[in-house]
Amino acid sequence: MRTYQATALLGMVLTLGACKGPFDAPNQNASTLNELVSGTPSKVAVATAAQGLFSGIRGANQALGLGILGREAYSLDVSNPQSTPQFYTTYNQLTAYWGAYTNNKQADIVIAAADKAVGVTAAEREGFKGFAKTMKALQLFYVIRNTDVGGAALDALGDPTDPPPAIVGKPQVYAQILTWLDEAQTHLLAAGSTLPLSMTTGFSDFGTPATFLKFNRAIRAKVNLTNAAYAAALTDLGGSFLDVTKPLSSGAYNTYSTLSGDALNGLFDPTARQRYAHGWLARDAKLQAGAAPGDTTKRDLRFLTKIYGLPAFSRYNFNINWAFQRYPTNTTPTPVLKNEELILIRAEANIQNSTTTGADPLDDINLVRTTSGNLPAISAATWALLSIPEKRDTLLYEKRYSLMYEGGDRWVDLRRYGLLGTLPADRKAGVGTVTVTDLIWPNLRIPVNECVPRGANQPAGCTAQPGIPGV
Amino acid sequence: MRYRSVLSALALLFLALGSASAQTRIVTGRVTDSLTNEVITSGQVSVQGTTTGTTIADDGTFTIAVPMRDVVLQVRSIGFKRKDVAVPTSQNAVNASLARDYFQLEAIVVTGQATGVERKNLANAVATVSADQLVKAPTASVEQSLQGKMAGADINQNNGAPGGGNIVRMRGVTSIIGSFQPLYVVDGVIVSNAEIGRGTNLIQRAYTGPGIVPTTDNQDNAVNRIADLNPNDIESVEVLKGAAASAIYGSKASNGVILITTKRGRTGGAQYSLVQRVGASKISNTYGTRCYASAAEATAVFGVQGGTDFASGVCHDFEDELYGKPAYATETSVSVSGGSENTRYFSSALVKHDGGISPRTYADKQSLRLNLDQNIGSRIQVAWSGDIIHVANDRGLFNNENNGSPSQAALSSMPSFIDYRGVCPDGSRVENPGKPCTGATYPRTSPYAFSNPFESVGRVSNKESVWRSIFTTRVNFDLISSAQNTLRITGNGGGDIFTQKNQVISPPDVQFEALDGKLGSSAIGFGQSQQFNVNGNIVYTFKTSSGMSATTQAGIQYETNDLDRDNTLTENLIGGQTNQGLGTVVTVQQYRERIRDLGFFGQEELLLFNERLLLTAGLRADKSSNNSDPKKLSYYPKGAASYRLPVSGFLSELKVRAAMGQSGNRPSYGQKFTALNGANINGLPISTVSNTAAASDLRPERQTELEGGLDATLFGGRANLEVTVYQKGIKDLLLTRTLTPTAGFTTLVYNGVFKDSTGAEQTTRIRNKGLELALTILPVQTPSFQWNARGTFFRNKCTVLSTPATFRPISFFNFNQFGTTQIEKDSSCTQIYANDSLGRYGPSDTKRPNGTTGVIGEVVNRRIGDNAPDWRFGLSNEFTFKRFRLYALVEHQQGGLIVNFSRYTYDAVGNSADQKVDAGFGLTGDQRVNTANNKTALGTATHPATYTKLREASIGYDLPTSFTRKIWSGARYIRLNVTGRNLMTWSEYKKVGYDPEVQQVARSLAVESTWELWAYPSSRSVYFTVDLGF
Repeated sequence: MRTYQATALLGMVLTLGACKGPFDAPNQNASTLNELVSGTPSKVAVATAAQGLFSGIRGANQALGLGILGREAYSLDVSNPQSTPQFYTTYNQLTAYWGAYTNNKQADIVIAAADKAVGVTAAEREGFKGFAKTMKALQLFYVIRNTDVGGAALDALGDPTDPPPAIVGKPQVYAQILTWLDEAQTHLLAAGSTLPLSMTTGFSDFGTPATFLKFNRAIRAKVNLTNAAYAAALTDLGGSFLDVTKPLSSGAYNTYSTLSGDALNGLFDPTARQRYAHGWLARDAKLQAGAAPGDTTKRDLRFLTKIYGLPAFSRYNFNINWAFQRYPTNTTPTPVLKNEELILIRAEANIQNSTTTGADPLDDINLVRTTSGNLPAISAATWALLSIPEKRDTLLYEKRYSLMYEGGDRWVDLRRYGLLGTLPADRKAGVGTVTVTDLIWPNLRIPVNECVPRGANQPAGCTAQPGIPGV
Repeated sequence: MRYRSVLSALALLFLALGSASAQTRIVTGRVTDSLTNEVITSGQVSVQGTTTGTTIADDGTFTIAVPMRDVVLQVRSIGFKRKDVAVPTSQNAVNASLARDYFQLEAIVVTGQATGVERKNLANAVATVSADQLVKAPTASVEQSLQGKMAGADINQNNGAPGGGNIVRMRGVTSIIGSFQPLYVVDGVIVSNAEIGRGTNLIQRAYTGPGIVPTTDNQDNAVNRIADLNPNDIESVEVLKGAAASAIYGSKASNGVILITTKRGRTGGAQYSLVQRVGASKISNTYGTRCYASAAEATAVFGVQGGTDFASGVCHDFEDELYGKPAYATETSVSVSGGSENTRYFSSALVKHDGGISPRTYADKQSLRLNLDQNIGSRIQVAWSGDIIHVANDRGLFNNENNGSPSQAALSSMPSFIDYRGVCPDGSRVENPGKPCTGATYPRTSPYAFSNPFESVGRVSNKESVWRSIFTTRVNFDLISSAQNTLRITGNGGGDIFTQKNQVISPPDVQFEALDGKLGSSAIGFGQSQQFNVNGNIVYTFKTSSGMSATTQAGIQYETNDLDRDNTLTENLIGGQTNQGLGTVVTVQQYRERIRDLGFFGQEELLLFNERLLLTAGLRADKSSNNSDPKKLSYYPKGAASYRLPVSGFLSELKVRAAMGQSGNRPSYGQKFTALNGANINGLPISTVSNTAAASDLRPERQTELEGGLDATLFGGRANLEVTVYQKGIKDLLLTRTLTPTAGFTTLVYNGVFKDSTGAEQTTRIRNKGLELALTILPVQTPSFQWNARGTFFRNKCTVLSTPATFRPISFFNFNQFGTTQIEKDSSCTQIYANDSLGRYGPSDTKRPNGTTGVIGEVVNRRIGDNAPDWRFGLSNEFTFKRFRLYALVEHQQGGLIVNFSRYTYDAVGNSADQKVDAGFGLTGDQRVNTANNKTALGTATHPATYTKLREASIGYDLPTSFTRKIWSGARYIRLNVTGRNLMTWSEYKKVGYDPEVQQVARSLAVESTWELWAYPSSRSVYFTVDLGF
């Protein structure tokens, strides 16, 4: 009798004390990373994580942030007045781009998991790697085009608790990007005829190893152009999806939806609550073909499509008159790279290279300005009289209006040619309650949380380049 | 064999008891208050050295059968000192006159899961607040009622919204990223103090990431659920402030434990108590409005459009138009108590309504309670407590946002020369924003602001409904019960279950609905929390006739905690319907928690030398599913000693005490996982690695507290002084280490482990040192006039002892120009760093933080102050003159900082009432915002939080019994009371913000800086109360 009771009591204590069930419950709110890195993940798990890289690319869109620095856009949020001055006085606001490394960590995990996954063919492994490395290269490009002379780290750490990786100079970073793109090319060429993952609707033109390689080459062309390697850019364009017979808008896009668990396009601002267009876009817009002189209702079609007028008001000492309608719905895609840009890249590289590889730059420029802007074509005679800088400025006008509020390219392009000083300062000391004149920033500083743990060993990119006085 | 001997011992015991009753005599008696000579209507009488006892009846008399010899009767009643009355064989009637126990020295204070000691022997500084102190002035929540009444806690009301929402920080900072609110235990059951977001974030977009993030969505101005309790049901609150006292609660106790005991039935006929309150609240402070004198002034601030809209001589005080009307409150509470020796009951009901000063906001509460005590035979006592609570409220749209939707956010940029009130179809204006006419339309506030507060207040609802039940059953089985030996087995089981439903509805044509192009929003949140705990204890007490006693106990405790939250947001409400099936855009979110905890404990208490020396030692062992290793037990020892010195002269009691204990703070749910989050892009499933990585050995934080002090009763019981010093060190601190983003993760959750310069492994440690004083004096005690005064003083200093590196914990708001907390070795845990200008402290202020010399005006990032208050002082005075009672409680907080983001937004627009002309602050709005834009903190948006508040004040009058009886013969008493809460606030902060107590969010971190961010305005309240006993 006593023994029985004692056993029962002991049993109860052991049940509570040693039972695996109640104390070992899995995460109730998400999967865990262990499911991907330890053991043998399934093909679906790897594909789902690979598809996650689209989310990283989508999050890296800098139409607004770089648009502010390049004086295309304002973000004047009455809920966050603290974020406005920073674009004009410090870099604190723009740090999200450095998130590229968490995305690249994910790419590394996908690449490692592809080798371990069960039910994956050799060609599919190549497909995973070719896809992931292309996305990695694109992410690193987004970093270096921001930091420029500040340099960047080449890759995320294997073990997150290791000392931070070295920050290397701009040439090494560009070299790494090209290496990854070329490695990806090798993988894609060995990937057979189908990719082992699904594309978002914005990448539907690039759903096979062969077509994704065209995206890879297009990225390579943009990378080389940004690094002023014009001849290389022209070579890359040969393998890209550039096609003057296709719509100018064809290409790769970030997509959004109202589905639960998806994201919306954050640039959508139907009531012009906080995002505004810079007045100089209106000042500089050329008039359409056949417009009477001074008829501002016939501005460049790209301007009229993307911008509309507001009653003039002022906020935080900025005078506002214009707002964007570039993204008319909360699910309007944002471009990653489109045919129109590739055509302009070809024109720019040819102008800088004084070549006509693929096409005469004037033909490319005229195609874009007449199709997108409804502007009169430039005659060959007029073109022949222009100097290279003048041709370049003509090209930059087209880029400015074709790529307006899409990726911040205006700022990057002006920097490449040392033209940031031609941008307006906007607020000048002594006007209204302004005490400090705005400056134009030539690059983005490496975020503070990357710099502080490095102690005394601060890389150059942790210090801001001096601001440039505007007009 | 032994089993049989126990049985025979039990049989003998029964026989002995039976035979004792054979030769008895009856003694009757009457018990009175020695000060007023009024009868005492409850209490116990027992015969010393036996287990015989009885209770005091309603009329103050008792009848007891005692042995046929000289006996000593022990008479006790709560609130009075125990009295031993010798009753010789010859005497059969006694009068006992009890002295008031002003300092509760003989009250039993909990020291173990199933044991307690009298306060006079207690070795810890446990604060006890009794029922009558607690409900002096009505509050929304029980912890708010503790404000100013105890030393050792910083208690803050988040904002003025009705329904509660408070933060308690006990003896300083106890964690950096872990939970820091105390554990609440009601009648032995651990209850939830969860803050479940209301879903307003889905409308206001304060947090824009996906899913429910509990530490982030508490920007929702949620109620912490302890507010559900009915304060009128509470008999007493005991506060265990640190590990020295709370070690018995193991790995959930390091933030302190608040033990709440509800009222129980008393023997005798049914006694009813009815309390009726009516009250009113008014806004206590406003931001004010800038009036514009000319179109040029308007243009300078609002641009061309402002000049066009300008109307000369028009200046609307929006706050007055919105919040200017008083809000009314009513409370009806009734209770009944009674019973026989073997069955006692207490039952209560409450119906309460609190109106909010923002129109259409309110908090309602209804509750029913039944507490039953049943003796089964002489050895088994069963105590049941249970309640059902319904809470309903609407708290409007306030706090942080990113789309301009809350009223407060819009106010800062609305020009006062435009009338924004609703327009009725007949052309008249809506005068009462809470009751708009049918068909009212509202002027658009764009391009200045993006919502019309009059419209939001009149048409958007943010409702919450909670049904909750907290219930316990305790069974005591006295296996052995003799004068010398008692052996008791206690089983305690209970639960706390609630469901919370929230619905935020914003109609399609409300102005801010156009901001995202999706017209109309209906956000519904369902939350269900289930907590159960069972514990079993065995307690053996051995007493000798010389007064020595030893109490041994052992126990086991198992707890389950399940939380499920589901949020759905529907937008594009077709035809303005609020049914969620009728929208076109749907967002679904779910968040779940599942926690299992198991603990074992044992404790030994020795009371020696004629109850002069108390020695305690105990040990608790805990494991939890929240730890990386859910099977590993963590051990928490404790020890304590107190000694009552033999004293004479002006000292009537002097006790020295010392206690040491350890407790833990387990990781929060989910911290141990590195998540792979699921989502989709246009329906394509994706997974992304979380930015936060978890260490593989996540374990509880460990707190070690040493506490010492002395308690003295002086001047013949006219004064009582309690002095306590403590030091608590916390190691294995849970930290989010900000990784360099190139690590691939942005944060690592770990226990602060690092290698020091010698290569030895260290953990991050902080230490709190503090001093608590409580002095109660009774300067006058006559039958007709009594004066009680009580002062409490508390100071705490938290220091970082070791840290892997100087860092700034990730919190909501890390802005260099306003200030962030910086964790740094040998510095305060709550120091705030911000950009600041050299020269602010005078011409010699030119040294940069790195030691080099800079120039005046140069911006440097340096320490600007401390978020935690330096000290806190509470003073209460109560005067009783015959039937009149006058009472006041004043609380002072010295130090602390608040970032006032609301004012910053006014300043940034140029719309502050003092934008151009200094209104006593020392800087104009223009000056504040310019220094802020130039990145400097003080004088701009970060302000000292020192304040003095008249927390409570009341005047009461007891109607004479003769008069009462004339009105109604059944009435026992009628009391009238006029009470005020937060009637006066003195603070420099009021020149820039609503209230120096304010917090934008219910902090995610204990060390986080305090923000005022479009908070619900604070109010002052007055109540009239009739208290009727029959």
